[in-house]
Parts: sequence; structure tokens; C-alpha cells
Amino acid sequence: MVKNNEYKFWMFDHEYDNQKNLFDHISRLVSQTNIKLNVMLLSSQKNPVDYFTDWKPSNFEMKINPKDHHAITTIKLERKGHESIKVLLVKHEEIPSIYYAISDCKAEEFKEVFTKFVSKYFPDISKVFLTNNEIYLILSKLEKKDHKIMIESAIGKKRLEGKKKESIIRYTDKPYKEVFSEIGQGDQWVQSVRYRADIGVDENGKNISAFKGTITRECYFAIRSNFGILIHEIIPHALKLASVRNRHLKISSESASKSKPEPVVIKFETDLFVDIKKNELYLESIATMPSCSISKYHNNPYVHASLVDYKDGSSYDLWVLTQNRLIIIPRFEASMASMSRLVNHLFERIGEGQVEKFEEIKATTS
Amino acid sequence: MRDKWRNLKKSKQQPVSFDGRTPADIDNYEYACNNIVVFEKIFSEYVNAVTHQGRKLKPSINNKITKEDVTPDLAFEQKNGKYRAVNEIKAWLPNDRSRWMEVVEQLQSYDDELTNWKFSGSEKHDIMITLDPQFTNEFFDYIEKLKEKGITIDRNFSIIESSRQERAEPRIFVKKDHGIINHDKLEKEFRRGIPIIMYNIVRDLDKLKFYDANPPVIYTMMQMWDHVFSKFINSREKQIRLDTGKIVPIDLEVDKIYEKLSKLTHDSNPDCIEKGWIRNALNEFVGLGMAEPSVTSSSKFTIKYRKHSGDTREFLIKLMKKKEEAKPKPSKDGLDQYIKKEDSKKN
Repeated sequence: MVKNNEYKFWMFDHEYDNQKNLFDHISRLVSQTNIKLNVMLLSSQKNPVDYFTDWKPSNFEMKINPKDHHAITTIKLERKGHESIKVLLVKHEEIPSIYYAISDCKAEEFKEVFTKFVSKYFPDISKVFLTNNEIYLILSKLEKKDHKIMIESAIGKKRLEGKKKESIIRYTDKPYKEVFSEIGQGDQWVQSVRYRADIGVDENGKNISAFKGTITRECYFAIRSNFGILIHEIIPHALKLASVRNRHLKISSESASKSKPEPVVIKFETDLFVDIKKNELYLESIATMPSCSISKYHNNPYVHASLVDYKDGSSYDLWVLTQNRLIIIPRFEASMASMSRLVNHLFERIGEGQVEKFEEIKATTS
Repeated sequence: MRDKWRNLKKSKQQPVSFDGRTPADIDNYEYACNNIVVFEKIFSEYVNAVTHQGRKLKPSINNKITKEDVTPDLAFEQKNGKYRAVNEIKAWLPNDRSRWMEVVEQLQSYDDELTNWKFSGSEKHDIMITLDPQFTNEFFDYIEKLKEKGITIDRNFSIIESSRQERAEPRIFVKKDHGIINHDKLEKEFRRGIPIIMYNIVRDLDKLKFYDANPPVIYTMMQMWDHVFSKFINSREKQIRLDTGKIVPIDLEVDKIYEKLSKLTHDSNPDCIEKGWIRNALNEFVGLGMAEPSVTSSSKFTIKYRKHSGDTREFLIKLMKKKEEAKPKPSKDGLDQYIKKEDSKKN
């Protein structure tokens, strides 16, 4: 087997100008070296590199390989107090607003250097979010590829009333269905899971694993041994699952300046708002979204509040007018990135649900 | 020129607390806004009538109360001119019963051959008053007693109750408690009571945040804080400064705020917001040290916008109370001297 240290800058010295050839090349290298890759999906209307060159946040140094093709770019990133890292940015061939950010650096450096760096470009560059159920569906798709999916560890947070939450880390070696069932029963949201795809057992009864990886709620993926399955199976499925929600958010965001903007409706799996005494606690939970404040107008028998997102100035009115739906109405301007951030927060702190188009309802009681 | 009952309209918005800052004060304002939406829906669906909010109607020379234009909260008219009505919405009536006469006079001012309707027609219009259910019977009794004194409303007049109902899908329920509506279908439906599921009208409820009555100043401040100021951060540096908890100055003109807030009104009355309401709210921000007036123009202000967490109303009230507590209070000696002075005047 080829050692990965013989490939210093190996991923970034390619001469490919199309995604397929580049990814095939990376797949070969990853399977040869067994190196772990970090991959993150970014949502951006323009090439992120354009934003990076227009403006640079303090404490970061960024250089671009001038020879790169525009759809495939390598950036070298430095942040004070951290190792410099290289990140490959690749435009998704079918979804023009999606970019892959790929790096072979340590996961911690990727988080502290690259993730922090791109967060400065919100809302122009934003993350793609997944729900508990969507992470579950991704794992179940892998299972159908003749893999036995085991969860090695899972980080989740338990929903508590009002402002409180509780982190729960599970070190386990259980089938994913069992772990997700426990998570669902515990009213928690999944932050990340580290999984292993087994293909059988050896003569000593030890599991033979095909590959290992990590999936987080923020569409960060780490993978070892099998880059192909990440690129051809996991990520397309993740994007497909998120796309329905994102389509509704886009329509609503684009209508914000209209006199009557298009609402986004979150339909929760259970009747969360049956007990109106809890409305105040739900509002407190909503207000825990970082960099936001809310104005409460009404909380009994229905909820009406407005929310301003200080990250980019987007603002909304929030209404609860049935027992299982929350309505978000953007006001004047609201970015899709902010809407997505808000919906993810509501999923985390209130409960997961389906994002739907607004439609009139019929009374369920007289 | 606004009619003389504007003052009553304004004062009714601050009934619950001394300073007009409580959720109930805001709720009273929203009660009227919500009812405008509800009645528009009912009149549009049941009789295909057009709704005007704050339309100026001209009195005849026979008007018993006023020579000036009157502006009922709502005016409805069918395009063929066959049915017309006006409706005054009051979430609250003054505790002081003598002031109820002002409400009656307001209704009497509508009891006239009003002109300046949008569509031509000769039918007499109905007069309605919409009240919280706690007031409908008492107000009816009050009107009945006035008849003994010869004070009457001669046109078809009805008292409608409007309340929010707690259900799986909260509703606004409107029902005629007293009087007559001169339209068979409306009379029948209002007598039975009409529940409107709030969910189904949420886009209209959400849009109509202001009508032609002065809102509690804190309500205007909340709307400006959430929906207006945040839209004038015009660079990534400023946005990051804001996000990291620093103060970001925003230069704003009253007209710019007016332009935004005017979009949150009824389509028939986009100019109902008075720039004075906006100035009052800005002056409150100035008093809290969160804005500075321009030295060159009375309509320019610099907002010292900054992030806070939690509830904006509570955040503003905390600052207001802090400011009030910081005001010098009269000393006991000063109070004694004042009492002595007053006593000597009497003597």
C-alpha cells in the first residue's frame, strides 16, 4: 500500500479540469492510502472563490492556486494559531449553487480553520442542513448496498424546556436503526454520527468493514477508504433529501419583498402545541438561536412573534395557529441561508417536521 | 384633518397600563388590526363588497355632530351600490362611562347621508360597532338609556362582538349581539356567528400591522427594530460587527422608515401611518441612548443598532425603566417646601 506521506499535496497537484476525472483520481488515492478526507457541502450562488477574493476576514490568510480551473480551485488557508490547510473547492456539476469543499487535513483543523473562515461569508456562503430523519435515510440507503451499518458513536442533544439543552454522547457499536430509535424516544436531535459499513465477518468472527465515515447535521462528511461511495451515493442522496425543503425556502425567501410574502409551514410530526401553557417555553427555545432576538406579540391561545437574525438582517414573523404547524413569514428581506438556519434551529429546539407550502386548512373541531 | 374622535381612538390603545407598554396594550392594537382583516374577508366572501380602511366620508349639511370628514375604521360597499356599511372597532371602552358618549357621538356622526363612497349608489348604509364581548351588552344598555333623552342612532345599527376562540385551530369569532343589519344574508350569518380560522387568513393578519390609529409607541419601536433597522446594514464588515455584539450606527431618515412601515397597512389606506408616530418612536430610542438626532435635519437620525438576545419588548422596557430610575427624584425637603407653598396659597 502507498503511504499517504509520499503524497504531500497529492490531492491538490492534479491537472484535471472536470469533476469526474478529478473525483476518480481522488478515489484511487484514497483507496490506496486509506487516508481520511473531510468533505463539506456549501451553498453559494456565486463561486465561493469570488467572495474570498473580494473580501478577507481578519486573522485569516488565503491564497488561490492561479493555475486552477474556475470550477475546481485549490485554496491555501491560514489562521493564526493553527496549521495551514489546503482545501479543494469543486462546483457541483448538476446543482450550480452547491460546492464541495474537500481537504485531507485533520478534522479539527478543518473545523477551526475552514468552517470558521466560510462562516464569515454568511449568508453568501452557507451550510446545507440535514435532519435526524434524513441522516437515518442516508444510512438506510447504504444498508441497501449490502452493508451492515453500525454506529460507533453519536453526538446528540436533548430538547429540554425553554433555554435548556443537554448534550449526549453515545459510544456504541449498535445497528443504526437501534441507535436512531433510542434518539427518537429521547426527544433528541442528532449532531453527528460516526458509522461503519460492514460487509461480513472474517474467519475469527471479526467484522470486515468496507469503509467508515462521519455524517453531521451540517453536511460535513468524513470518509475513509471509499471516496466513491461518498460522492456517488451519500452526497447525492443528502442533496436530494434537502432539496424539497430548500425549494420551499427559496420561494419564500424570494417573495420576502412582496406585500404578502409566501409563508413557509413546518408541519411537525406530533401535536406539539396542544398545551398552550407551553407556548412561552417554545418562544424561549426559539430565542436561543445564536445572533437573534424575538418580539413576542401573543402567546395564548396562539403564538405570534417576530424574529430578527443579526447575522444578515433577515427578519420574520412566526405564527402558531394550529396544534402541529409553525408558520414563518419573511418580511422585506430574508436570505435563504438565514431561513435555512432558522428552520434547522426550530427542528433542533422544537421538533422535526416537514417543510411545506402554505395551504388553507379545514377546522378539525366545531 | 382628522376627525375629533381620533383622540379617543388613540387613547383607547393605552387602557391597560399607565405607560402603554404591556402585552395587553399591544394586544388591543392587534385586536383592531385582526378585525379589519376578518371583516374584510366576511364582507368580501358573503356579499362581494369592497373594504376601505380609514376612508374619509363627507358629512351632509344635516349631520348632527360634525361638519368635517368622518373616517370610520371600516367602510364596506358593493360595487353596484346596493349595500353599504361602516364599522367602528373598539377593543376597549373607557372605564369612565361619561366618555362613552364620545363613542356614541362618533357613531352618530356616521348616521348621515355620507358621500365620497367609491361606487355610486343610493342605499342607506348600516352602522356597526365591534366590541370585545365584555362590552356589548353594557354598551347596548347605555344606548337604550340615551333614547330616553332623545339621543338616537336612526339608521340600521348593530353591535357586533368579536373574540378570539381557543380551539385546535384558533379562530376569531364575530357575532351580532344587538340591532339590525339591513342585508338578509349578513343578518342571518352575523346572528348565527361567524368563526374565521386564523390560520387561513394569516398572510393578511401578518401584513396588516398598522391602521389609522396611533399604536403604542413600544409596538412601533418593536416593528422598527425587527423589520426596518436590520435592513439598512449595508456591508459585510458592519454585519460582522453587529453579529459580534458591537454597536453599528445606521443613518436613517423618517421617510425611509415610513416607506417600509407603509407596506404593513391595509391596501386601501397605505398612507395611514403618521410620520409623527415614527418620530415619537425614534425620540424614545434617542431617550434610551440608542439613537441620535441629526444636527442638520429633524428628520434624520443615527440609530445605534446592536444585537441583544431574548425579547425585544422586555429589552426596551428594561432600558426605559433604567432611564426612569436614573432621573433625579424630588427630595423630601423639596416636597415639604412644595406642600408648605401650596398651603400658604390656600390660606
